Amino acid sequence: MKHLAQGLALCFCFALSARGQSDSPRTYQDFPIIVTLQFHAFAVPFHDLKSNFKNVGIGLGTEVSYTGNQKFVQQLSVVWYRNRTIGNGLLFYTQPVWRPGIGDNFYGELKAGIGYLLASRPSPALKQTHGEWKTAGHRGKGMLTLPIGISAGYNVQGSGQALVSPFVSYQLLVVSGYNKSVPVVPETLVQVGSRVHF
Amino acid sequence: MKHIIVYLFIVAGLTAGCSPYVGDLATKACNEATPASASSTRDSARQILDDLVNQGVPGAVLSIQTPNEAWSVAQGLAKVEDKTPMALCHLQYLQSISKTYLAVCLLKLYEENKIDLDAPMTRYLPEKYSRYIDKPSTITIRMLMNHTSGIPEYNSIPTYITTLLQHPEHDFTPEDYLKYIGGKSLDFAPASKYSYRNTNYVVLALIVDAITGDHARYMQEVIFTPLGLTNTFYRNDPHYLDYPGLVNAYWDRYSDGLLENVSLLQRNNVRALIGDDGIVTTPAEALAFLKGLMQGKLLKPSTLDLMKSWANDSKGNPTYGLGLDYGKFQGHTGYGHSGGGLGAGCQLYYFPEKDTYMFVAINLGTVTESPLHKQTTVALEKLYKLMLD
Repeated sequence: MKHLAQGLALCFCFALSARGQSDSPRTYQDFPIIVTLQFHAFAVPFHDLKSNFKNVGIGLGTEVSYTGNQKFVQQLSVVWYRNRTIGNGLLFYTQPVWRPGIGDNFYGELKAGIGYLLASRPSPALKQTHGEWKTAGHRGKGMLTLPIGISAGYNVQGSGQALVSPFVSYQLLVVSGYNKSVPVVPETLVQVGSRVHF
Repeated sequence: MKHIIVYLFIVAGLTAGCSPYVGDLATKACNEATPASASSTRDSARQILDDLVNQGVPGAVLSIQTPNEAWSVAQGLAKVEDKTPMALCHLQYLQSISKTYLAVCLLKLYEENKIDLDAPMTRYLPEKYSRYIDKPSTITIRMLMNHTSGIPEYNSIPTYITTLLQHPEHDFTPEDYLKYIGGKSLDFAPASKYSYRNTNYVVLALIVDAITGDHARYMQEVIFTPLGLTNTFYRNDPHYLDYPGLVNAYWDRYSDGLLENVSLLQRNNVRALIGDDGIVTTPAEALAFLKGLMQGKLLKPSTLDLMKSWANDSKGNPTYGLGLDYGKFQGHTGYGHSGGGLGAGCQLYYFPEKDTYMFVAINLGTVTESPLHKQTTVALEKLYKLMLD
């Protein structure tokens, strides 16, 4: 599964990059589509990276610039991931992003924001009602989440109709309210994807 | 854009097609091993447990021995999914009650002059383990046994918790637990205060291993065999937690009253633990152990007195001996231990003023908070009142 996920991620980025190199150049525009492959883990930051590549997901997002260029933007994203042993998740989040350039066409990102994670359970929940046990599906919990991330990317200055910026991100999710005894848990996302400015 | 959507569907399809997580294990129905005697107290206790399981705790067992009567009751389900009734012959997780068993092993070694309780642990613990502990030569065996060592807790380290939950099938080694505290300073100066740490008993198990070759085999020799405990198991077989008599285990992950079957996680977690946890047994044999201990079948009277030399809590009250907990229940003193894990909870106590032994266990995790625990607390209070007043 790990190799499959890595292969898909590479294909995905190459495909998007190739698409961006076909026509005339474009400059930065608001509301690009941000498409990502997500790799999730219930882990403290920079630990257990192997787990990330066992738990694959997808993400869609967009952004709008505060300054008319890509240096300081606000991103809005929705992410779905599958995590067999912890439970799947649907994460909505928004982050202000500082995106300084690093040499020709390369850029870095620092971002921190707020989100809401709908985490399901790995196996069906059980509840007793009037003396009878019933399953409540994989219903989980909604939790306030603080996503904090770093990224590195590349602006493709090709001749395409679309400006394409493949990137890779590492996000720490500080998830609050996991349960009453462990109020805060760390989760991580490795994100591989691209912004596509049509 | 079309390509993007196609890629996303491919990825979503591949990930959704992976096998679902299965948390439960087989638990076989079994017949009651011990015929129950008629007793009005027993009927009252059964009603208390019945109320408990009707309020959302999957299953519960209780075993009592007083000077006048001995009886046990089981209520609810050993496995909810297939409605396997909880029975007295089912194996229960003892969790931290296992510490009392290990302490008896250490005190047997003390009686055999094979260990000095006031010697530094470095005399016995191999350097390959002691290197993970700060100032190991300042910590004695006694400090490990009564939780005054200051060694940090491994099972509250975030990396341990996330690894355990993300990888339910991960096999931790004893050294792994010590690696989690490697490089950390002691939490307090040795012998300066009491603070319960599971790590102390992991270290003690490794010490008994170093002296005897195998602490689990030694436990069999000095406790299980002399007391005739044929349904008490601890590392006797690599698959001892696959025995079909073991109850399924349930956890309220999100503290919302909804339970998950975490038997696989519970089994693998307990299977890896040494010294601080790991024993499974029936209610009758849990009582038989404590009774054997208190009646001098395992240790000399002077050694048992040593076991009851209490470390005090921050308020100056006695709280913990050498592997033995000191508690107050409805105003009555109790010696024994409690245990809690992701998928089980239990208590085993002797009340000397009433010469009464009591074991109670549920197959609901008590290590994290749940609204269902309110009912458990109420039930326990009623049981103590019933038995001790």
